[in-house]
Amino acid sequence: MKFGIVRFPGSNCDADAYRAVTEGLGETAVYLWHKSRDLESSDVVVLPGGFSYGDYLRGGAIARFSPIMGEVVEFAHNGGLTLGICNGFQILCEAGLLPGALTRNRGLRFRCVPVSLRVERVDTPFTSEYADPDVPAETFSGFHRAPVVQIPIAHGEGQYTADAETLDALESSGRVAFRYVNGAGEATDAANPNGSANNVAGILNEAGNVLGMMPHPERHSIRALGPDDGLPLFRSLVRAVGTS
Amino acid sequence: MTAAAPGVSSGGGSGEPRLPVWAVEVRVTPRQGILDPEGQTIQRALQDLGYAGVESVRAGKLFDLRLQANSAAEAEREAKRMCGELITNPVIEDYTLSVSEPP
Repeated sequence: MKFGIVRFPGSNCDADAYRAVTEGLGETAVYLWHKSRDLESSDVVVLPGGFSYGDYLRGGAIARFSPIMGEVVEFAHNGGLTLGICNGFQILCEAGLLPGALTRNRGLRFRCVPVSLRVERVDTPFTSEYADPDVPAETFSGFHRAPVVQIPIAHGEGQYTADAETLDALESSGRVAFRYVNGAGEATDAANPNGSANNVAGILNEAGNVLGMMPHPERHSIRALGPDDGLPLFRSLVRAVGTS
Repeated sequence: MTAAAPGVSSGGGSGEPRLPVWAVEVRVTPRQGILDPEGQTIQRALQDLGYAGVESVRAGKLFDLRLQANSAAEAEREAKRMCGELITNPVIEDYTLSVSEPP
């Protein structure tokens, strides 16, 4: 089981993702340089957080033209499991692998803070392990019975935006994977850290093999460093690859 | 760098005639209906300064390109392609552009 972690100039959560995989999970990870055209037989591709190309023009706008992105797009189109975190989410949107866009936070502040997320689906390759009764997570008392987890955000441009038609399509097809909620699991405006439409924190593509999310699961993946609510996401990917 | 495309002057000693250069100005603004927190903040600051009549502010970007092309129409076509491919994100941004002879 191998995770390929793409390094763009300006990526700065690549090492966190690497250690989440190697130390948190005990699996293999390799760094993939942005100029490479080889995914090195990775089972999962991770586009990490950071400020690729200094966020010039728009977050992710330049990175999507990196040589490796041609391979990543092909991998994703062929069903390869692809995870974009923060800047990686922006890159996936710019590359057209996910709909919508991420714009300046409402309030203009860079927000670096742990947030509560409701896991909207526990039947995806990215979230199946959140359904595990052994996972310490509060149970949401609403209609989803979805777990609420604590995962940090760290971004200035994380306001998810899409036209009404796209939002309707995402909601009706269950492609919102994570939502910003309060401690009670309610998607209130006060719990929305950046003004994202419908409190969206992460979305899936139509085929369900590409996930983009603004929060950083890799930062909550090593028990010794604190909460590890992000680790089940990586464990879910191991399970998905193992059963495919 | 790759070699210049056919018909486009390399500008060097190739002996080819140099194509006219055009000034292309691309103005990018947040799409109508898209929340523009930066514009709103500027609007509030202007109102705080006493400019009560400021009804709205949209904050955008301006790109000033110098582009070789046979004609203004060709420069405009090429600039529009650039806007679609890289300069703007049509999900969240609108743009207008104008082509003129460089000052």
